[in-house]
Amino acid sequence: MTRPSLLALCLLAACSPRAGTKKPETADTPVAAGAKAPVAGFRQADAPAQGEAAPVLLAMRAEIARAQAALATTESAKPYYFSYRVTEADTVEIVASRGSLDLSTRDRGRVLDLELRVGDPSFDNYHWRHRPSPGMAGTRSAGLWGQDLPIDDDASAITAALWLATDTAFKQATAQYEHAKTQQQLAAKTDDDAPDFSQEKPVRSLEAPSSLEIDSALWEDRVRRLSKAFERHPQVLASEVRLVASAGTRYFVSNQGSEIQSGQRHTRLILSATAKADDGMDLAHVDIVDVRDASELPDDAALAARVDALATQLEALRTAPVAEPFTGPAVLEGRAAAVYFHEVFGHRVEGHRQEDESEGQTFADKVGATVMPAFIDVFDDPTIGSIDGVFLNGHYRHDDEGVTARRSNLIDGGKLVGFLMSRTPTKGFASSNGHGRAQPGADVVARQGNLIVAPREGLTKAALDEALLRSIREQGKPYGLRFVEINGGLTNTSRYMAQAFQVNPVVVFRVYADGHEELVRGVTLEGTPLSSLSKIVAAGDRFETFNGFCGAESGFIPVSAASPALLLSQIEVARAPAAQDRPPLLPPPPATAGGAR
Amino acid sequence: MIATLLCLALHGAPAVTAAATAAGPESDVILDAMKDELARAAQLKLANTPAPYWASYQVVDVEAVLVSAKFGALVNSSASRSRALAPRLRVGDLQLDAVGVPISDEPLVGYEADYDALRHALWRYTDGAYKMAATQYRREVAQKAQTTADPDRPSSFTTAPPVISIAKPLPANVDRKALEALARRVSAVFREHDHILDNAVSLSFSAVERRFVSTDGAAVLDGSAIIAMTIDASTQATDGDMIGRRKTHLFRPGELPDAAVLEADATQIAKDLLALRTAPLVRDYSGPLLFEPEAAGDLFASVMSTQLVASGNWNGEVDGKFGQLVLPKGVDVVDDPIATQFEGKPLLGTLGVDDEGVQAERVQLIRDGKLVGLLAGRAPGKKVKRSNGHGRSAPYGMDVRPGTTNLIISAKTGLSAAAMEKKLLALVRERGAEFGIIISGADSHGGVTAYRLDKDGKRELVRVGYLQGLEFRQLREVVALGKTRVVRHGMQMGGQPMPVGAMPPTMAGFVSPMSVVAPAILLRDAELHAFVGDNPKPPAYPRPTFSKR
Repeated sequence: MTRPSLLALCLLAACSPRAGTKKPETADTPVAAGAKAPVAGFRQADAPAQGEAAPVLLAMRAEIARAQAALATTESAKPYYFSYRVTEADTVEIVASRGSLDLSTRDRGRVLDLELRVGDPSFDNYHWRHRPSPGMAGTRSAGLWGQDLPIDDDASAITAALWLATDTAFKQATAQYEHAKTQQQLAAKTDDDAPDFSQEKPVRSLEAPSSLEIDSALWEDRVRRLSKAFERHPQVLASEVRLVASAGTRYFVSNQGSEIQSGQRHTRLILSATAKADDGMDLAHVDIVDVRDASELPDDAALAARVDALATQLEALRTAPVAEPFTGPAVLEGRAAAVYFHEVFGHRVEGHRQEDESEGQTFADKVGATVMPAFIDVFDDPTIGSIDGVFLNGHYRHDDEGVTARRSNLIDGGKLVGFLMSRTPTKGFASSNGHGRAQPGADVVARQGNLIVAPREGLTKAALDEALLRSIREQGKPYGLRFVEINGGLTNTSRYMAQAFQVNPVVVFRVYADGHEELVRGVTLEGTPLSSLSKIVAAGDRFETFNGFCGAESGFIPVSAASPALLLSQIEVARAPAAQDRPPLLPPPPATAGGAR
Repeated sequence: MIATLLCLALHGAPAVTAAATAAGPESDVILDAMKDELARAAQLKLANTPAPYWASYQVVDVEAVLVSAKFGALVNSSASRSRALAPRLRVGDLQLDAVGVPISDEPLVGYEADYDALRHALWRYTDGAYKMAATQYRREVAQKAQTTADPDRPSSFTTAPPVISIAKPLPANVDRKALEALARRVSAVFREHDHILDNAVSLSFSAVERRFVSTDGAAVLDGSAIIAMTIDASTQATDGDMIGRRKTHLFRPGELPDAAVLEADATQIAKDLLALRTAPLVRDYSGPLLFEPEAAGDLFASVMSTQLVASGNWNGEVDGKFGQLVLPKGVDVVDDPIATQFEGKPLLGTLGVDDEGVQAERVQLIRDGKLVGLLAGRAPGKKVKRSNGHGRSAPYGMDVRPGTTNLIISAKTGLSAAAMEKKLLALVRERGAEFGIIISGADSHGGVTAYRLDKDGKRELVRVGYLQGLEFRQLREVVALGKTRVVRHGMQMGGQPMPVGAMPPTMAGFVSPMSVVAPAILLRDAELHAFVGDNPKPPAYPRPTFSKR
C-alpha cells in the first residue's frame, strides 16, 4: 500500500471575472478611511424538513445490528466501532461546446464507505494512519471504501452487499490491528499520547431524502445555446459550458447509535475557455456559478453576458504583457484573498496533519502563538448557508463521520486557537468539531468547509487602494499588484519538501504609483506561509465568496472560502512556465450561417 | 425495439460497394465537415518540414447503454452518447514518414450533426496532429542521416485503392428498461444459492456510427450495434480459495437470447461453483492439455490475432516462419471478413471496409499447416507489402494495427470428441503420468473450467490455476484437432483481443466484435500453475437470508 498523498492539492475555480476593467467601481464607498469591522450578511442554513427512515437506512440499521451481534462472539479481536456511510446521488451532467452537445447523462448511484475499528479508542487498527510507522510500512490505511450498492430499494440485495463488505473489512481490520501492535513494540517513545479515536455523542437526525427535479431537455437546449456564444470570439480555441446538477441523500449508521439521513442538492454551471498568446503561452479562464437548484441560475441573457465577459478577458490576456518577477506590495481582492487563505493557511490547520510526523507541522506547536496580525480572526463554519445571498458550497450539517458540524475558531486576534478536527484527536484537542470529510469512496480526514477570514477592522475600497499606492511610494516600487481572480493552486504540507505554496492567479493588474492599472499575464504567486501571513497590513470592508472543489487525501469535496480584500506589504511573484508550441498554423474554419445545417 | 434493431443489424452488414454510393441521405453534414476541413490539411506547413502527404479523419459516434444488477437488484444503469475524433496525418513520403495521432486534452467533442462545431474541433485536432508528425519526422530524418540504411526495412506506408462506401445506419434504439429487467431477472437466480458471495450481471449495448475520409478520396459511413453480456458469480472453496466463474454472450440487439436460457446459464454457474467448492485443486500441472472447442477458440484468438500480423511485427519471429509448418498438416486458417455465418450461427466480425478506408479481404493465413499469409493494414511488413483491409484503430492516440475479423480454423482430418479423449489418454500413458487435463471453458476473468481425465477414463471436475501464457510457436505442440467446430465471439480494440464486457463510452466506438470458428485441439505439452498464497478465512458470519419475491 502506498502512503497517503503528502501533497495537499487544491484545484479550485473562481467566479465572476470582470472583463477588461481597468479599475473596479468605487461609486458607493465613502472616501474617508474607517477602521470598523467588515459587514457581512452571514446566514445560517435553513433547518431541513424531517422525514421517515428510507429503506436503505432500515437495511443499514438491521445489518449493523446483525454484524455487531455476530462479531461479538468471534475469537479474534473484536470490533468496537462500525459505521456505514452510503452516499446516494442522482446527477445530471450536460456539456456543450460551440452549440453542439458533448455529453448529456443522468446517473444514479449508491456508494458504501465502511469504517471498522478493532481494539479500543486509545489504540486501534488506525493507529499508524497519521504516524510514521516503525518497521514495515503498509498499515496506514484501514476501512473499505467505494463499494457500489444496489440502487433498487431491495433490502435483501442491499444487506447481502453490506454483509460481504463488513466481512472483508473485519478481516482486514483484525490483521491490521495485530500488525499495529507489533509495530508498537518497535516504536520509540514519543510525547504523543493522543488516542486514536475521539468519543462523540451519537447523532440522530432523519431529514427527508432529496430528489433531483430537472428538465434535461430544457437544459440541453440552454447549455447548447449558451455554448454558442463563444463563437463570437475568434481567439478562443477550446470552450465549453458544463452543467452539473445533483441531488442526493447521505445515510450514516454507526454501532454507537448514530443514525443520520441527510439530503443535499447542488447545481454548478461552469463556463471555460482556452486561448494561446502569440508567444505560445497557454491561457485558460473559467467562470463558475454555484446554486442549490438549477432554477436559481441567472437567466440566459445574464449568462450569455458572462460568457462574453470571460471570452473578452481571455482575449485581453492574450495581448497583455507578461509579468516580470517582482517583490512588492499587493492587494488581493476578496475572492483571491479567500483562495490564498484556503491554500496558505487552511490546509495547514487540518488536525490530522499535526499528528503526522511526515507533515511540515507548520502550526503544530503554535497554539496560543501569534501567527498573523492582531486584527485578524479566522474561523471555519460549515453551518453558514450563504453570505450576502451567495450560496456556500462548503455548507453541511453533519460531517462524514456522523458528527454535527460546528464553527471552529482557528485564529483569534492573530493567535492560533484551534484546528479543524475530525474524530482523529491531536495533542490538546480530544474532540471532533465536525470537519471529518471525504469524497464518497475515500477515507475521512479533517478538511475545510466554509473558511472565513474576518478582520476586526476594514478599510473602504478607496482607502485600501490609497493604502496600496502609499505602500508603493514608500517602498520606492514602480508599481504594485492587484489580484482579482485566482483559479487554484497547490500547497505542499509535507516536511520532505519545501514548506511552500503556489497559487495561479489568472487576472492580475499592475497598479502604478499614479493609480493607473494594466492587465498582465503569466503570474505565479509564491511564498512561505508564516512569512506571508505576517505581511498582511490591512483589509477591506466587504466580504467576497469563493466556491470550489478542493482535492486532498480524502478526495474532492465542496468548499467555500470568504474574505474581504487584503493588503500585503510584500508578495513575491514568479514568471509562469512558458509553453513552446505555436498557435494554430491555419486560421479557424469559416463559420457558416447557423452551424447545424 | 426488436424490429428497429434487426434493421440496424442488417444495415450493419458489410456495404462492400466500392466506388458506389449505397442508399442513404444525399449529403451527410458530418462527412461534409470532415471532407471540407480535410481539404485544408495540405496547407499545413512549418519551416523546414513538408506539408502532410496523406491525412485521414475517422469520426466515431457511439450510443451506449450500460446496466448491471446483483441478487435481483439494479446496481448501475446509464446511457450516453459521445463522439470520438481520430485524425491521422503523415509527413514525409511512403518510404519514410512520421504519423501524427494527437491525444487530445479535451476528450469530449460535440456529438450532434453540427457542421461548424465539428470543423472547429477537427481544425484544433489537425493542428496538433501535424505538429506532432512534423516533430517526429524531423527527428527521424536526423537519425537516418546518422545511420546506415537497413535494406530490409519495410517502407512506412503503402497506397491502397480508395473505397467509397456510404450506408447510413438506421438510428439505433435499445429498450433500457428491458435490459434493466433482464439484468435483474438473471441475477435474481443467485438469491436461491446460499454459497454465492457476490455476483454481477451486466449488459452493455453500443451502437456505433463510423465515418472515414482520407486525402486518397476514400469516404466511408457505416454502423453496427452489439450487446455484450457478462454473468459473474463468486464463492469460497472449503479451503478458503476464492473462486469465480463468468459466462459471456455477445449478440446483435435483435438476437437477444431468451431470458430463460440466460437464467439457466446463471443456474449452471451457481451449480458449477457449488461443485468447485469441494473439487480437488490441481496446483501445478505439466503435460498434455485438451482444449474443448470453446476454449480452443479463445486460445486461437489470443495467440493468432496478436502475432499473425504484418504491420508492426517488430521481432520478426513470424516472418522467419513464413512458408514453414506451424500447425499439423491438413490445417487451414483463414480470416474472413466477408463471411456472415457459420453453420447457421452468426459471425460477428464481419467487416466491409477497415479503419484505414481499405476494402477488407479474406486472407489465407495457414494452408495445409504452413504459414502463408499475415493480417495487414497500410503499414507493410517484410513479407506482406500491401494492406488486406485489416487495419483497426484505437483511441488515445494509438496507431492503427491489424486485427482479426472472423478467424476460421479447419482440419481435414478432425477427430471425434471420444477419439480426442482417447488420444489424450495415450499421451498421458506415454508420459507415465496419472491423468490429463481437459479445459472446457476459458473466460479470462472467470477462471478456467477444467476436468482431470484419469488413465482409466474417469472424468472429474477440478480446480486449476491459470494457463501459462501460450506463444505462437507452441502451436507446434498441437498434435490433433477435433471434427466439430463451434463459434466463439470475442472483442478487439486496435487489433488486440479483449475480454467481452462493458467498455467506457469513450472507448466503445473503437471496440468491435470478432468471431473464431474452432475445433477442439490437443496440445502435447503445456503448463498450468496455481497462485501461491494464504487463503482468506470463510465468512465470519452467514450471508443474510433473502426475502421471498
